[in-house]
Amino acid sequence: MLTAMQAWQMAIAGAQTVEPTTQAEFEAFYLRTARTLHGYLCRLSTDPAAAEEILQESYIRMLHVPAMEETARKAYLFKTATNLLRDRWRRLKREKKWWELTPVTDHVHQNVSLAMDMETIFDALSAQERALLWLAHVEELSHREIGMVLNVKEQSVKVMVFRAREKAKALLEAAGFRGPHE
Amino acid sequence: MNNDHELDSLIKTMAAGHRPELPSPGLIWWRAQVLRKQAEKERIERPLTIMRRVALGFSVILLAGLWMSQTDAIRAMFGNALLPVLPLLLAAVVIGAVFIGLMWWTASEA
Repeated sequence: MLTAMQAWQMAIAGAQTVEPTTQAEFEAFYLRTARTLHGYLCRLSTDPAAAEEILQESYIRMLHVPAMEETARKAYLFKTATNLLRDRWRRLKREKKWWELTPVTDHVHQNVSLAMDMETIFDALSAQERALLWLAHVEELSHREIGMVLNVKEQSVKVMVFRAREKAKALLEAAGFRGPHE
Repeated sequence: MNNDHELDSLIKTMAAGHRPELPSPGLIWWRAQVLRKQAEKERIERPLTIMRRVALGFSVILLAGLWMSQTDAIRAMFGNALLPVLPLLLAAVVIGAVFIGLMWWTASEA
């Protein structure tokens, strides 16, 4: 099996698949990862149709690179999906809005009935913060892998994840969530 | 809200609640195979496509060269009567272009 970096280098160089993924392997991997990848794309894009389109394209691209070990393949998949989503936004000339999206926190602060709605809190974060939290908490990727997915230095990821967590916690608090232990 | 575990649990609960209707893995596998075969076909046919373009360019240059080198001979042959045969020549050029275009289209459709 190849590491993600080796596989990406081979993919960039246009190398042929040396160890093709079998259909059974692919289907098992798809069933393990598709739901959360779709969730990740939905949270980032807030467009289910675009999410499904990018999901399919990401798996197709993954099938065109040499087989990798599970974690590397997952990181590759999320990186491809993130890049496809970014390209899509670039095409729509909305990339700036995506990465520098100003959090829409007013409705969270004002409406206490939404306090427990984590989705609302999540949507109030910037796209990059949502991506960081999803990759760290749902996918449980390492800082190195998150860095690879989001094209950010590994050292920066730790700080960025910390800040995103703090922001999410502050939003939850502002929305009235105190947690069971407080 | 100071606990990272609570936040972790909330995010995981949110993610677990996402139950979309996804396309079947078989469909994606099939699409990938079709695209792979298409890419393979394009890769195999690339030299042929290049050669076809080179041949077309070469023919056009040859025709233009012949026309320019033989202008005097053509004038001598037809004299001032070149004008009446001009539509005929133009028609030949158009028919030739259509024929080449049809060949091109048939090759790309196959």
